[in-house]
Amino acid sequence: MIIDCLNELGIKQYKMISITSYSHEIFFIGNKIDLTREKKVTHTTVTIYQEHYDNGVRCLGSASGEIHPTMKHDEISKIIKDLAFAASLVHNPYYELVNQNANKNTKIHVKEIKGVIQEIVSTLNQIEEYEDLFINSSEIFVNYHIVTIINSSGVNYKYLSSDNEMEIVINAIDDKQEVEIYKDFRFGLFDRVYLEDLVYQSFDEARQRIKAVKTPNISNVDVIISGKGVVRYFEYYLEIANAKNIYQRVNNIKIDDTIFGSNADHISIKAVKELKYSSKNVPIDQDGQVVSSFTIYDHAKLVSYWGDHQYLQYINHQENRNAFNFMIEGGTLERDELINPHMEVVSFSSFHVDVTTGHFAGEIRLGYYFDGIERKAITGGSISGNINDNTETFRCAKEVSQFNNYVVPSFIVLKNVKIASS
Amino acid sequence: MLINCSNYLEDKIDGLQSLIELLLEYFDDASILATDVIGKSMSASKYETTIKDHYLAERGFVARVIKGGNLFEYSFNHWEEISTLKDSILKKFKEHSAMVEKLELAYYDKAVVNKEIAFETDVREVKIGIEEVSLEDIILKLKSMNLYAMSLSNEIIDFKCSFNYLITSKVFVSPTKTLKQAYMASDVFGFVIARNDQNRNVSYHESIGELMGVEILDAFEDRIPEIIMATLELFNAKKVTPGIYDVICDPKVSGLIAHEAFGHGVEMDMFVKNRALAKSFINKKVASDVVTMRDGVSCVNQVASYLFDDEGIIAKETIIIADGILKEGISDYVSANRLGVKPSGNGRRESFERKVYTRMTNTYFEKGNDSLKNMISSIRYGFLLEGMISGMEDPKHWGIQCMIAKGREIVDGHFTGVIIAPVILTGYVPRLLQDISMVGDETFLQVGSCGKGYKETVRVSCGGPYIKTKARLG
Repeated sequence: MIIDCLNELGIKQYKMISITSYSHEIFFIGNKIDLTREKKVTHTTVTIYQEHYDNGVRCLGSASGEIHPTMKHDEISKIIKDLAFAASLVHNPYYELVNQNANKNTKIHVKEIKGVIQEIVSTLNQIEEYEDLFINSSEIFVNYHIVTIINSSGVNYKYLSSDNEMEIVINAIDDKQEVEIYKDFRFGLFDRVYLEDLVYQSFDEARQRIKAVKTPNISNVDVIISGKGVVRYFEYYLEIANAKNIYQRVNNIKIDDTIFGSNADHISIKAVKELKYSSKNVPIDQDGQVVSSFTIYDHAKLVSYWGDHQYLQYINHQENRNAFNFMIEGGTLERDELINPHMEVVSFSSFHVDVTTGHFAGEIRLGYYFDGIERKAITGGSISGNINDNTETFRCAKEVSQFNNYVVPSFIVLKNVKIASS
Repeated sequence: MLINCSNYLEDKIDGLQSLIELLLEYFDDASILATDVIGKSMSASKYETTIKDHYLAERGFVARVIKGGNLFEYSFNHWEEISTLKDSILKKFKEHSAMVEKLELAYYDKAVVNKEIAFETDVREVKIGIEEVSLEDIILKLKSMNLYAMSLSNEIIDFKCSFNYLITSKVFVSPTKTLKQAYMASDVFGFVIARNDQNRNVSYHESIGELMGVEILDAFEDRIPEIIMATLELFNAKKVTPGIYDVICDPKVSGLIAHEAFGHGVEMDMFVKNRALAKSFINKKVASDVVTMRDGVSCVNQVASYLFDDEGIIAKETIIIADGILKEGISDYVSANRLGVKPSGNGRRESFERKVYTRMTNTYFEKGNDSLKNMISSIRYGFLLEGMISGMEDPKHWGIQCMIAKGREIVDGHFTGVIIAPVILTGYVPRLLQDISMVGDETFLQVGSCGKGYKETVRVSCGGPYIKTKARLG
């Protein structure tokens, strides 16, 4: 009905993204069910484009809005007219809509969803718990999406994607206190062994946190970041090479610029079309660009910008280059080379990285201090620094770890970081 | 302009009541929340203009049914014959029950049926409704604010100015309740990026938001020069030397502390899971005598002010801390029943598609008697902390993380002109609150978004007066 309305109103350029989501959810308190939920919703977003001239300069305006499944012809027609008017007020530089041959519109059936949630619950039920180390609560979300992307330049593509989420809280108790480890895992493909590993790693963190002492006064030592903080750190390098940030001059990195100094590990950063277990495996992006694998930094040298079709055109990047999975190659360090005193942070309350300035900071939920002889678990206090102060001496692990849509070095070593004790 | 409940929802009320009647033939209890939220986000920067739906705009339904201990919800956004909807909900409930049986799982407890009776409607007014202004005028206003900000310094790379509004209509129907509410909330957000001749970037943001209409745009325009000044002074910012300092927190920072400390800390769904230390501190001292803290929908006209929550509970105001004593938490309906307390009307969903959790509304420290001038004079060495970036809660261990835009150095009661930025404030919540020695004489609230863990975003406000305390900065 929406396409009919667009045609009736003579809309020449448009895009329509329709996502029907099926979701099964279970919420546990301990091993008992708090609530079960199911969802079936369809969200259809229409974008209308209007070409016009502003002082002789060719422009393309756009405006987007949702058409609800409960809307009738008159309502849809009014929304489209309003969007067309709104688009005429937007005087952005002209760009072409994606017109490559992204055409695959086949029938898709969602069959596995009930089986997947049962598998996840059954995996959790078989995790060995103890009186002093157990699952406090968990939330499981299994989501399947049928995505259809159509535009007026010939894109007509339908695909199935899945993204699953498990929030889990692990508690550890000793005679003095009770501590928790909070984790939020996202994954596409369910794999019993992969999920068990994630949960048992969290059990290990809880075991360590109960033994942790307050972060002491430490200075002039290397700071090692492992865990999800490494992803946040590398996201900075991805963001500064994103076409939107380049176009809007948020950052001014140029092709062939090198991000690390001569003594640092000159690692490569790649976009990959698919990554096992990732919840971001999609064949095309929201504009209809086919997703492919390509290198963004080759041995620390920027070789390709990436991002949305509109901004890639604005910066005269000819190729379609959008990405949702990233592989950051390992560096040169083995863990047993970390023999000097150092502090390692494995879990932050929240690791904040500012893409405009490179500042980073985070409260330490769990870390370790190695004084050259003994390694002790620590908690509390914070670290802070700037990514740009660490480019000359940046080193990272040879070994890599996966966090949903990122494969990153298992740890990074930073020399210019301030530590606040707890 | 009066904001009325959407015609779409008004037309559906009879059908929803019929659906409840049919569901009660099988279930112990049934209720439905219907939402119709219209909203747009518009922005203008040097590089582009955007017009799109607000990320919280939605239209849909969530049905909650109870049978024995089995609490089940179904979210949907299509509409069918009432009998078909009933069959669909019943079928899904039975499938889930069969799965639970197959996996040999047990339910947490017997869910309690809500017998409270209420038939109320709440509609609110704004000065200038969205239909009273042309879209063209709003876009022109945003563009003019961008140009004005850019004209104030040639070091400004961009000033992105966005106007966002939501007109929320909600209807809650259960066997004993039919509730309707409608309100409009708007906010304006300004984000500045500047770069100096040494190629150093700084950024800063400011926002204002309330239950207001388009008139909010004028209120923001007046603040542009101070936003630009606040950005440019970051070029001279020094790094923090980690340590414990006397600090004065501006209302944004005190609001962030209130929110992260004893906002998240007293969400009572976390009491049920034994995830909040506050559970064992009710009626105990957790802050200095000068600290009183509230959460509530009726005490202020802010973005999280409403008549009823997403479980149909008429919301109230909660005094969380009174004169330093932790008095009570905030709760959703299910958690309150499990704990044997009266629900406070803090059961909120990110959208009709998500579960209810206990969530804050408008959370703030009450004003005291101290002037900012006296607070500054009382500091021998310390900082005035200004502007919030983000925060993170830790109710189990009473840790706190606050990312703060900047600190202004104070020596012997005077500003030295030295700025530190950015600043991370961490510490043990009761220590931080027990060190509060002075409380300002005026409270300000700030619009914000709040997650629970790493998800479930809802609109909230938080704030307070200027407060003086000691804090660990890094």
